[in-house]
Amino acid sequence: MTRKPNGSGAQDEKRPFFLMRNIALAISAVALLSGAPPALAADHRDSPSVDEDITTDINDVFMFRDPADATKLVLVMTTHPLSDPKFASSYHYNSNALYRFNLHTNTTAVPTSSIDFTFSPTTTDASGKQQQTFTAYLPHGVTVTGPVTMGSTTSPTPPTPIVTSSPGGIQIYAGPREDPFVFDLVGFNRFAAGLTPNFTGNNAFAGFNVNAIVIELPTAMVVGSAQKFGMWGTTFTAGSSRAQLTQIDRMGNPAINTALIPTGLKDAFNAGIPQNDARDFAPTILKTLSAFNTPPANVAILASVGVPDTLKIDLSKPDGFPNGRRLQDRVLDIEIQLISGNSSFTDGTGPQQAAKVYLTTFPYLGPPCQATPTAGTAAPGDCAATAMVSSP
Amino acid sequence: MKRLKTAASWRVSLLLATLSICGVAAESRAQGIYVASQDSSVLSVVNGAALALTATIPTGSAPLGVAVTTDGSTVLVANSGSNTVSIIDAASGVVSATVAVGKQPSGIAVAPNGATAYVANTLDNTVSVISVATAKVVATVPVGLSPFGVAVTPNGAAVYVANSFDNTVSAISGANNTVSATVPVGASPSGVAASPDGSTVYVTNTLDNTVSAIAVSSNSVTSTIAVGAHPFGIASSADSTRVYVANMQDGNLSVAPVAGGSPSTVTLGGAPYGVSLSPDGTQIYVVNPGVRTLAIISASSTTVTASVSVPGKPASLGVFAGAKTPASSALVAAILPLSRSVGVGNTSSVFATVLNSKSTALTGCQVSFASAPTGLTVAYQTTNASNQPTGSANQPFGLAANGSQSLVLTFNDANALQTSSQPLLFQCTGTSPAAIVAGLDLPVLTFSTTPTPDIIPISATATNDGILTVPVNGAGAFAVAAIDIGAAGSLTALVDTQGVPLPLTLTICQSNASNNGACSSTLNSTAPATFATNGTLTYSVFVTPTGAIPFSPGTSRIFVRFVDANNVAYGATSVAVRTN
Repeated sequence: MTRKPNGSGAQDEKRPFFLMRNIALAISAVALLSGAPPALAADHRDSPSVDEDITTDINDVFMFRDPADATKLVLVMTTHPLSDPKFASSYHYNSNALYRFNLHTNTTAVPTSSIDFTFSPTTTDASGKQQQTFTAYLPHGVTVTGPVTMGSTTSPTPPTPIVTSSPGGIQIYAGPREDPFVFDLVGFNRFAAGLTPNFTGNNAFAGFNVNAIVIELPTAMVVGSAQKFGMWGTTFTAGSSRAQLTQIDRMGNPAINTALIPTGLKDAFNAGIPQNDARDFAPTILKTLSAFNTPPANVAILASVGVPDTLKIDLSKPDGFPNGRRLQDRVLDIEIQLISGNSSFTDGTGPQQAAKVYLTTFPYLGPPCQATPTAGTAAPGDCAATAMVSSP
Repeated sequence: MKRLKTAASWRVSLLLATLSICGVAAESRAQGIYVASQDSSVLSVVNGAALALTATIPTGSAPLGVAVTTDGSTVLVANSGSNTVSIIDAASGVVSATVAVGKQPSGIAVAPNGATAYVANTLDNTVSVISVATAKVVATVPVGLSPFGVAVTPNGAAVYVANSFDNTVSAISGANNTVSATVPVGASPSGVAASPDGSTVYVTNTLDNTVSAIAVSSNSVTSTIAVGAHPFGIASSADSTRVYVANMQDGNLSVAPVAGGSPSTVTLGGAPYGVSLSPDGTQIYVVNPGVRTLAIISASSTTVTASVSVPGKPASLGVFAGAKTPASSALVAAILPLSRSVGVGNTSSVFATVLNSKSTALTGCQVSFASAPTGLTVAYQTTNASNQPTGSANQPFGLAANGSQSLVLTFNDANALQTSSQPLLFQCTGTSPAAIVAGLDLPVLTFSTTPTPDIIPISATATNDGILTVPVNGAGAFAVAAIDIGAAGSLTALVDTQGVPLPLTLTICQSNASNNGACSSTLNSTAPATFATNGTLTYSVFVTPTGAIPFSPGTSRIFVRFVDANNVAYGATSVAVRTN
């Protein structure tokens, strides 16, 4: 079933958007200069290069502690944006790519450890079932290999997640899950174009899956005894050696590249490294924020979060964006509130997000949407409850 | 209890094949190579002259770093899972002391005089300084974040530790156990090695794909050497002109001139981890957890000359080869079948034979796991010539001089489990446990919550001794018969060498037993294996060696495994292969 979420419609149209209009105008101006349409997602399809290869397009990275065990860290990287369940069996990881979680225990954002994932070529067994395996390279020479969970175009129920466990409390999942990210992108685009109605609370990412790499492990395994650290995700394609890598995408905080970097610099941003962000991109980001009339106090907050663009966490404080990022954090509401100075801004997708499945245990992301789910809002694989309602 | 009726003569032939590895005369440059199995709590002893596993030494949990004293007499192992260091007498293979150190001891190095050892406590940000003679910690030195690899300079004056999560190396004075310098290096430093000429210490920057060269005189980085992807273990050549670097993600070894110039590479596959040299510097040893082998590389030709299968995930880091002939167990053991697959709560059983290769009788013999997940147990009981149990369960037995004993082993698990590596210790009083050899005495066990197939395969060679002898470029074959005594199921029959790089091509087909073993399925690297309960399928395996394969039944083996879509094996068998 579909339903119109609360908070959408007439009430939103009347909301004072004085500051938001400034953002929209600024984004529109940037977009007009480049000739590209504006798009505000977490990091989905955020530059020309990633559009050429969705297998290495990072949508989101998340970092939070296991709610049941504060000594364990959960890292999530989603790729393959807007995966349609009708084609579920064909979303493979790129066997020529390297998917990396970078961590840094310093303030310079020079990486101090990483978790790398590589994937085998996809093979088909005698019964026609596709198979792919991952190899994870953790710090200190720890390697873990396991199967990728494969989606199905015909099964009404989602695939049972194959969780690979390894000594020391490591758990790994790789495969399709429902996109945990929520945003009214259509409403935003209409708003940016000066159209009404705009924000209607329709989640543009509803009904779509992503490929998710989820790893849980003792925090000390990647940062030792550090209490404050940062993380960002990168994807690379490899040459003849995995030492010869071409960086395709990177992602720390949501919407930094999509919202604050002009289109002409988006590829350069994705090819950059956080330790150079202050030098290479801080002036641009400040300029964008200035165009948005962001209050100076919020500029300072945004700069501390986004430059360098790594997702930071202080283990002495509770998890939740911008202290790490949990799956359900309303990151764009938070960011737009900071950028606009409108502390009550919401895109209205809260109720849709509330209807989504987030698990309290590994692999945390809800099961993937199925092409032909068993009907009923409670049935796994039926994403209709969070599906997009008709556009205004 | 499900009991198997299989030919005891088969196990004897396996043992006879294995025994030949114990009969190789020690050469003058015989060495002990010590391979820590991180997932199995054992140190496997490899005789460097015979290139064969000769004994097993039980250690603490998750052994990782290994250090051998210059004279080869003492071996130290950092047990990263039990926060201890095992001190081992190399000649006897006996653990003489276990020293409590800090949290998660990883890399370990011993001073050239053999008196002092240094172990990095990764979770404590410290280095424990151990007096080897007294087996006591004499100092604890605070270093950087998550210390890992350790090396000592040849004069013993300085100890270098890679602080893996703050991108520095701490230099510790060997004289007063204090940090004398902290050297910034590349990202995520891991392995450390000192050059034999004492001038330079090298550290692998795992995230940068480089090696930093640190001048000992100035404690500053003097050059950065580009190597392969995810460099980890490192050793310096005997003449100090090259470094050998294990590139985990590239599956190769970089041979990099330290004065500059492009490195050459030696292809290894898997995920090479630790690198160590023979005491004379002519051999490079690389442990590879990706393919579960120890590779032996000639330093002069930089080619792989041999490969030894080792149990578990090998993880030796440091100087893990020494000059002394190592311990050799009097015992050799084999089990049949190699794998069992039953439901949780059920008992699975295999037959075993243990043989005393020495001319003195042994007592107090027993069988146990080196380490096992909670809930998994093994029991043993002696059997007679008719495979009927004698005595009582878990009653230690004796072995006459050159005698043997047949056993039945029973496994139980209260939890679901699938394992490809659950090493068994066959041991008697006064001798090291038998070597653990994949294909001989390393069971593959599955306990499932749902009914699974339980395949008992037996292979037969023309000579009926478990050995396939084929001319180079000729064609050989052996047959496999497999019965499913568990649930019906659809599996795949795989033929391979379990990661050991042997020069041969392998194909398998399902065969028609009533038609002289002619293929009834396409000849390929895999064959279909759809079993009915109590159904029997037969297979033909064809083997063409493309190069010489010396007789090394502990390593040169061809395995046929029956696996599901997730590569879980429900049955396995193997034969030794050699060329003539």
